[in-house]
Amino acid sequence: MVGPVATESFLQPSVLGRLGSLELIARAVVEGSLVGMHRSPKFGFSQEFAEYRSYNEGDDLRFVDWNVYARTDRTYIKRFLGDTNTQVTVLLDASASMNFGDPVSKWQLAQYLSASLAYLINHQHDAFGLTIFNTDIVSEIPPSGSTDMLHRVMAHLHAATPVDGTGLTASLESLSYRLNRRGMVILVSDLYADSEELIKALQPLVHSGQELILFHTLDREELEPSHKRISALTDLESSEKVVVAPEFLTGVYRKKINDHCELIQSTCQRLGADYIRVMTDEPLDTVLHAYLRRRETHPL
Amino acid sequence: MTFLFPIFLAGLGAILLPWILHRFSRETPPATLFPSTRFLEASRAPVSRKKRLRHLGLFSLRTLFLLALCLLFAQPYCSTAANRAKSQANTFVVVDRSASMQAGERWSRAQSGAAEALREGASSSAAAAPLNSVQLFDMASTLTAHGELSSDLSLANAALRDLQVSAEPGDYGIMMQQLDTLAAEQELPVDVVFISDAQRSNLPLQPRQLRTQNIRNFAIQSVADNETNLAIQGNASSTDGVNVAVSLRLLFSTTAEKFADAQVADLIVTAGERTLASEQVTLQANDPQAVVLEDLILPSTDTDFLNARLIADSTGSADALSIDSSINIPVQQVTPVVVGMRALGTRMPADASLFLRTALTTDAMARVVSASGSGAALSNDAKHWILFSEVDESGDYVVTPVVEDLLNAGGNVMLILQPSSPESDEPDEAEDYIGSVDVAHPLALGELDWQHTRIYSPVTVNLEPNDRVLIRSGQGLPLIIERTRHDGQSQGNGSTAGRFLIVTDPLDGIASDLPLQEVFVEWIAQTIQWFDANSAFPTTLEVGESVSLPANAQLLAPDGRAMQSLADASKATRLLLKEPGIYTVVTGVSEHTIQATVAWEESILVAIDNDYMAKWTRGELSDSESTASENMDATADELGQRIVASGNALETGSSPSAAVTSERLGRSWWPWLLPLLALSLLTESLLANRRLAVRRDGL
Repeated sequence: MVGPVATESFLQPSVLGRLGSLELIARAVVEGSLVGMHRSPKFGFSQEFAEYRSYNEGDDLRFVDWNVYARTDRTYIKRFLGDTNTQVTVLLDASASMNFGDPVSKWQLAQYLSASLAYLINHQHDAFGLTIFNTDIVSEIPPSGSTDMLHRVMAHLHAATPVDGTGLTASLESLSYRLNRRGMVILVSDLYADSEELIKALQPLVHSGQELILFHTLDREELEPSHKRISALTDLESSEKVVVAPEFLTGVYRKKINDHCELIQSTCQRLGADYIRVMTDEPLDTVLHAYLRRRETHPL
Repeated sequence: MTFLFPIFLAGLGAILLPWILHRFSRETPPATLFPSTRFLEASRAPVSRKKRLRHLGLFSLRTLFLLALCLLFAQPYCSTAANRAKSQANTFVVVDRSASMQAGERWSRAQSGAAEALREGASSSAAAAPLNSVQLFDMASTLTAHGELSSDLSLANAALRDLQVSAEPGDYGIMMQQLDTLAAEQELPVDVVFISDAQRSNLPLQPRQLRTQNIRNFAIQSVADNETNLAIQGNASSTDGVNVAVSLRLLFSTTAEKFADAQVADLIVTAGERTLASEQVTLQANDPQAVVLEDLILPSTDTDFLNARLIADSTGSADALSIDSSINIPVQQVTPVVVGMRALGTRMPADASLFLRTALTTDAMARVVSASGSGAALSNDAKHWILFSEVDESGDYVVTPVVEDLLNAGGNVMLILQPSSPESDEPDEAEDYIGSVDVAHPLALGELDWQHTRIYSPVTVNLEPNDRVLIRSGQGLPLIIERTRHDGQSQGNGSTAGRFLIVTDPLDGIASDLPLQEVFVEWIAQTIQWFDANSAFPTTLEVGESVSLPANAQLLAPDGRAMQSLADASKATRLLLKEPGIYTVVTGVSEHTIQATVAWEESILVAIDNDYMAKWTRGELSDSESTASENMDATADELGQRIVASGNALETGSSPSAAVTSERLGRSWWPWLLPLLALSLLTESLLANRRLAVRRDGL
């Protein structure tokens, strides 16, 4: 079983920011997580046998070894090594609103996270693809398990800049047409979109058999604005200026954004998707580590 | 507390500005980037009019800053009594000895008042305490101490008995400043008792000169009564020595500014025993009147001055101050100066002599006498000479021994240098102009307009070490030179040696166009005036003023006695005129009369009103208070108002023994305001940075 990991050993976002190289960041994040778990998350979808395990209530009956049951009258679950044919597509939001946050921006955090996932997936020889979008798809790397995939991903992440608005719905719709194989879609975004439209855009992906993971990147200032005086807040995407009173920010606004987050989270639960909130002031490896522990039963 | 410049308190109105800013300003919210305005709703920007004053601390600081700034300019001055030691003090008793104190019984009242003040000053309020020290001063042109600070009154009383009233004018402003300086040197507090007729005309133009820092108590004892005075001043001039024009200024002055009755007086002008004019004049109180008597025939007597006097009509008020009601007026002879003209070793240049003669005779300024020949002695009729001399190729010129003698005897020479070879009619050299003028020279050539003068071919002359070049051309050539004699004597050093000017322009109209310029006549006139030694002395002075005497000059008093010893007369000096009359300046070459009159302000007896006097004693005067000169020029309405005030004052408080006393403590607050100002400014800046998010990143 995976033991607890000391908080001090996690990598603070500010420390990651100083590393400079995305490869280095990804390696630091992932390998740290792997060491901390003492167990490689390689269990996946390949046909290569790994081990038997006693059947627990709730396990998928498809993986019960009926031959063993016939001989021993006991139910065992047959586990396999990771399936290299699985493709993981990371959908990265590069809208201007991502360029916000402290000590690192949401965009930097999303870069680190995407790079870490690419490193992790490359480490277990799965196919990895990257799609960067803002109002439309900016750049795309189709899922591939080639050896230079990691470098290409890093290069694309480096080159991208968060600008313009968020075309989340259109991008998801466009992506759902391109993904003709079942796999995994990881959406990294601050999810500034209409909740209803977002849900409508996520549903086709899930219904087409894709496993969906949402990394919701947020900054503490977005959730709990600290403005003490009346302020003119300028939208990073539309440059629209709204004069708001501090009372509004501490009251109505907080309720609205929390409702928004909760709606997305509940929708994800309903769709069977994973929802992970990633804050810019939290150590990324903590988040990743916690999520991987949660996915032990459903490895990547 | 009062203010030295209360007008600056008007600046307090500027406090409204921060109040308006803090009360009504619309707050501009700071712009901040935000990821998305999706969940935001615009709030109404609050207008602070609906609220209370914001940033009270900042507002207070700004108000304090403005207040301190205004007070700094207004210079608050605390004159309230403080807990200073009162038991022991030094007392200065100051007696006004100015000319107006001769009126009526003022001087005797002043002496008895001073004696009483000395006694009171020396006595101690506490029985066991030692006696206080007193010192006697008199005030006329200057403040003069008699004896040392002492509790022994015998010396002071003796000095008081010996004091005589003077003919000099007084100035209360100078007196107060001198007393303040003396008081600052004392260890004990200083009280001053001033015994005076409190003439308004003796007040300084700037009332703040009456304020002192170091005098604890200041009291004025007025010895003025309802005296009246007739005063006369004037001058006389004659162009022919027979017909005389006399300009006179007459005044009937009273202590009270308001005096209903006019004064009828006889104006009599005499020359020796003979009466030249006699007429009756009616004078309104404190209203000077000008009278001009023309075409008076000067009798053929030895006297060279007239006497003019005002005699009060027997039905009117008595003339309490006689010193200024009769004056001797010297008759100024307006005669042209005799200037000799001669060529040395050459022929008289026709053009130059014509130009000079024309300039000299303009306005009958001078009479020109010509001399000819090369070896004959110069005429003794002329003290000033214009000589022409040729210059050879080496730059030397001829100066005959006669010229040397003339200069040594105090004569003045302007030497016009001529080229040895005649000039062509057309200038053959480049046009030049006046480059530099010695503005410091007494000839005052800097006051003339030389800019249109063009120089073509001045004569080249060798300069000597002591030569002073008064004018140079643009190319640096000397045009007018003052040459000091070889023996080292010069006019500036007070020698009797005459003045010697060398002009390198032949003044023929070819070498330069100077003779054709307007400045030529002015220059010649100014030079002749400078040559004329008599012009160095004024014709009229007031008693209390000084006359500057050159070396080897003597000043004779009106009674004919020499005012300085022979040893003193060998040096240039200044002598104070203490008595009115006709003074005579005797130099080696001339005599000059100076008429000394009693200062006009001493003839004006109008007293300071009680309000002003009270403020003076309390040290509360500011520059906005009306002054003596303003009073004399006031309009009729203003005068009427003051007349009432002054009349009341006379009825209530201006009795001979009336005294205005006030305890005062000089303490200025304004020096403390400067650090307060700086501190509030600094704090305001810091606070504004923090509270108002002022960025100072220098970008």
